[in-house]
Amino acid sequence: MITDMAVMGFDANTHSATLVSLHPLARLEDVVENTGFPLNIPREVPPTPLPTQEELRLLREEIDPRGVYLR
Amino acid sequence: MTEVLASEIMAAAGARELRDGEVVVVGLGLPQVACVLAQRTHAPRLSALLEIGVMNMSPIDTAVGLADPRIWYRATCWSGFLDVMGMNVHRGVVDVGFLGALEIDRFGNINTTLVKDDSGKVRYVNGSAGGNDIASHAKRVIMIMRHEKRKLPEAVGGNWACAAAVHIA
Repeated sequence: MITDMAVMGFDANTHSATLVSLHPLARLEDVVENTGFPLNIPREVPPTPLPTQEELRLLREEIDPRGVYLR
Repeated sequence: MTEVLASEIMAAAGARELRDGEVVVVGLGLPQVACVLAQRTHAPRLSALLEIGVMNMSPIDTAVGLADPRIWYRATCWSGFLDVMGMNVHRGVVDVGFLGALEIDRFGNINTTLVKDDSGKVRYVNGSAGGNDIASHAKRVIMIMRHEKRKLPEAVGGNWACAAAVHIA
């Protein structure tokens, strides 16, 4: 599950949603506030890696140059 | 390079979930953008399937719908919905279903069919189309959506039975 704040997965045992990584600039409290169910939050939550310069170039210049979906 | 958008982080995160050589049924919007990004970086042998029957395309522009020929460029197969659903999804050869959703609950049940607003009025959305089949049969399912409380409820469909709910956990 990829949102505009975080990446979430599902716990192998309980099958319930678990935070995998937090996007840079997103705050953990905002994720909790904007989730309608109790989210499992591990002790260590790594940041979601930013796109590389080459990924940004491809996205902005070739894949969606007019910002139809990337806005 | 200007500030990175949340949608760009989402597209890159989605692309990194895909592995080279995988068969991916891809939905329109950010899933399709992420899929093309994966193909042009670490996954050149990834096979993308559109629900309407177009496969292995090399999009030359951003599509506004699945039936938009700008993303069908150089496709290797032009068949139909039943071929994608039957010969691919139901045969179990699809590695990843990459979809959007209206609601997902804490156990990964997906709703793309209808929601009730606060006044109790029902709003129909155009899913699930193949979403149920794809989420049920693909080996992995990746969902992309905005992070909002109402889109991530305790249980999909509010207090009533939701026919399109599927399980991805």
